[in-house]
Amino acid sequence: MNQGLLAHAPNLLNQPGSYGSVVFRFAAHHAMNLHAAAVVTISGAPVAFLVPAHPAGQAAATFRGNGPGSVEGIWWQPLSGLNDILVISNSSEKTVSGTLSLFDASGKQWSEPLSLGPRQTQRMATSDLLQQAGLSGSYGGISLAVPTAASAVSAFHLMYDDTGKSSLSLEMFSRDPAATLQERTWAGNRQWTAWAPMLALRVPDPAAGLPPGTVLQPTIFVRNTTAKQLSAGITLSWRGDSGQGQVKLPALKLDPFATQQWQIGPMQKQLGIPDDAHWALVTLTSPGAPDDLIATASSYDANGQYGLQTRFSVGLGRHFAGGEWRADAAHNTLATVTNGGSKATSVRLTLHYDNGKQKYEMQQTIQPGGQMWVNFADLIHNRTPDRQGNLLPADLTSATYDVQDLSPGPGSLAPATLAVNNTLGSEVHPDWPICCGAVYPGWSPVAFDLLPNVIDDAAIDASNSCTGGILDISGDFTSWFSANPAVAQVTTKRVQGVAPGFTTGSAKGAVLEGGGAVCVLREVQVNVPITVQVPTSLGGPRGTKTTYNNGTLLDCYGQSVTSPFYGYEECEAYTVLDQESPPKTILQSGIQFDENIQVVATNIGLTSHTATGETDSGGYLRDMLTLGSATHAPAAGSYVVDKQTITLHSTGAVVRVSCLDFESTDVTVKDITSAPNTTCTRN
Amino acid sequence: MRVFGIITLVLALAIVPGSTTAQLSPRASLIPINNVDFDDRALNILAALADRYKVVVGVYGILRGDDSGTIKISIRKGTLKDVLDALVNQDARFEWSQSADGSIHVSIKQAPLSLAAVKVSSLDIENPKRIDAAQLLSRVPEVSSWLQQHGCSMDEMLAGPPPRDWGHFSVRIIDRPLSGVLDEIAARSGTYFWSVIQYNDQPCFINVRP
Repeated sequence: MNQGLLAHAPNLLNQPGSYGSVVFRFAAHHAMNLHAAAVVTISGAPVAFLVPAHPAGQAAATFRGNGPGSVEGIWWQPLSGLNDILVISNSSEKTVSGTLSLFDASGKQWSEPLSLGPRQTQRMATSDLLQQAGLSGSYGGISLAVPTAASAVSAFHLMYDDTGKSSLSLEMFSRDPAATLQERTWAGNRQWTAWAPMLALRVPDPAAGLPPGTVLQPTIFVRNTTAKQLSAGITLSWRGDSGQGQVKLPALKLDPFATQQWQIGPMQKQLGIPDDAHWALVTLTSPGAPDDLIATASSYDANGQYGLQTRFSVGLGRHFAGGEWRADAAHNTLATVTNGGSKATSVRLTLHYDNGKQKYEMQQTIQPGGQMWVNFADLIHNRTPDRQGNLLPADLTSATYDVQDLSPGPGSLAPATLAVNNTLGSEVHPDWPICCGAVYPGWSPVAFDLLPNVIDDAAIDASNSCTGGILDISGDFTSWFSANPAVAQVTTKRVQGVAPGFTTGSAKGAVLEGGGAVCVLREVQVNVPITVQVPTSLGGPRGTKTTYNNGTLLDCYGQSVTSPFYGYEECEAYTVLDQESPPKTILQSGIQFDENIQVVATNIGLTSHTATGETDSGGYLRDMLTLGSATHAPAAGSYVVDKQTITLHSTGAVVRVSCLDFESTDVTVKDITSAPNTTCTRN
Repeated sequence: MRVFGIITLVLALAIVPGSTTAQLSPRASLIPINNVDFDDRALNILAALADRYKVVVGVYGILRGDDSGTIKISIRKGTLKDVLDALVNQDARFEWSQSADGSIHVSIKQAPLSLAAVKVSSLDIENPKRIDAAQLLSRVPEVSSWLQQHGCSMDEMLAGPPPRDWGHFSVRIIDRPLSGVLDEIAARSGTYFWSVIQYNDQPCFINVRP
């Protein structure tokens, strides 16, 4: 950043209070292929903030469209003397106007209009706003609501102390008021559910790298972002050296816009959570709509210096990608993959390193509510082989990852990572993993041209927004139908021609789309044109001539027919055309045709005969026209004039009538289909 | 109808004196024909009759020059004999006869081809390929000898797509003329039609369609 400022705006460099925004533009298969973040740090101090880039334009519309929406957060002043900064930016080319609101813990509201010019960033201190609002207390809510262009607005909120001994990010959530439970909740969850997979309990896990004797204060905040009262439930699934267990916190009732805090540390003994339990999976459920409740969870020591933050995932998914993970003398990464569904599922976690050229795969079955835990440094240093027997290089210091639910359906995974700094005690955390959604869903093939009674296989394919790979998502489509079953019938992964004509095939299903970290299950209908074709005429032909002189006669596919052979052969390749006007080519193998060759005139003692043929894999009907024999080439002056009639075997319909004039060294083919009674003569 | 057909076949066998070979086709006069219309070359009509009525028809002789003349035959109700009679009446080049085994032979009156009468003393053919049949016959010693004596070459002139191959069958011949060999092959192969036509003198070319 500093290099960029030096080049383009040196007057802003090293200026206290200077700020702005960054746009990262790139060309890729999909806007979610790359993810960027700015990291603001004070070198040598436990002060680091990650400012994730958020997708703009169409990519952002997956989750939040251009309609109304809001950015919601929780303010917290755990210690006195902390600086807090709220940064709000508008990534669009238009002014966005909205309402900035602050709330105290009880939901008491203060609001003022806020307008952000094109690409404008505004910075404000929450403490100043609270003073202005006359709100008191140590925590409450923040909201920036806009009536339009919600996807253009982003915000982040941070706190630090002037001495550089502590820092804290306070997550801001995007809220789509139109989001439905169906598109954000699945895998057996009947209520809106969010998971904080790695809440550090009072006594931290030695793997977290915090100084011995550190006592943490695990804290959970839950805020009601709506104007109606909401109930909620919180469950802690703890795990430690002596075992694991689950406990429910008392049921919540949150007044409109109210925020509630849980100090878990003092409650641990009362809740029956032993001191040697280091971690808890926090599960928040609510009968409200998605994001009506937001929650944060963090664990810091009394001074705010040493701490670990876990985020509430806002939904489940099938495939996520993220990073980077670090492991060196001062850093480590702990990660979990939580199964938030009601059924056991098989999960594959892949680490990518060496610029994406190498991979390390772990596969595990996770029970409902269970977690897969990964200690990145341990994988490296303990020389743990992956499922293929591969080892991570001993000097590996970083990797990215992706995690996939191998079970069918939209997935039940909630991955999370925790960055550990063994030296400073606090570390910027990797951003949320990106939900790898299925983008550009469509039929495969993209159009059906088929014959009556012919059944073609069909599939619904999509592109993986992270990898660009093709996904078969047919299983996500539960309704398959035809606009006109009298023309074509459409059933699951099958299209069958019935009668000549045109219709549309459709499939309806729920497709998992990725909107940044959030997976959205979107109802979609994809359509495909279906033309039921009838072979009506032949196009072409395109001829290829071969002369033989004591050679092996080959057919039009290069297969031996007889040997020796003297004379010539011309292979005529016909395309099969349908009934449309103008006719379309039928690309279908195995269409059978009959051929009647009436000898009209000859001087070499021939009689009429018949033949059969069928289209090849390229849809061509290849007609082999030879004149010759096993002992001698046709003598000069030899001729045969034929009237050739080609009919469709299944119906007997005439598709081509030609005059064939075989002369001693060449044959000519003249199409007389439009005047089939024409008398064929020598040319 | 089926019973009637069997009875007429038995009667046909019974009235052929001196028959020593298997019956290949019924008598032409006993094959009913309804609503037949032809406007075609004689050779084409004969091939069509063989195919349509599954009766062995062989044509042999010498045909020089253009053969494009057509004849018209229209019979509403009659027999195969009526059609053949109509054909030779209109195209005086031909005459027809029916051998003891029921095969119909059409020869060219003014230009007979003695090759058809060459006696083959012994011939065993097992699963012949259609495309090789003409060469196979030309290598039969008696046939080969005749060809050499007359300075002729015999094979099948392919014009258009190669002929469809035959199914599996075998033929065992003892002391029969080449026409009889071709009758047997035509019957066993289901082709029913054969022709041996010399169409050129210098050099002598004989086109055989087995």
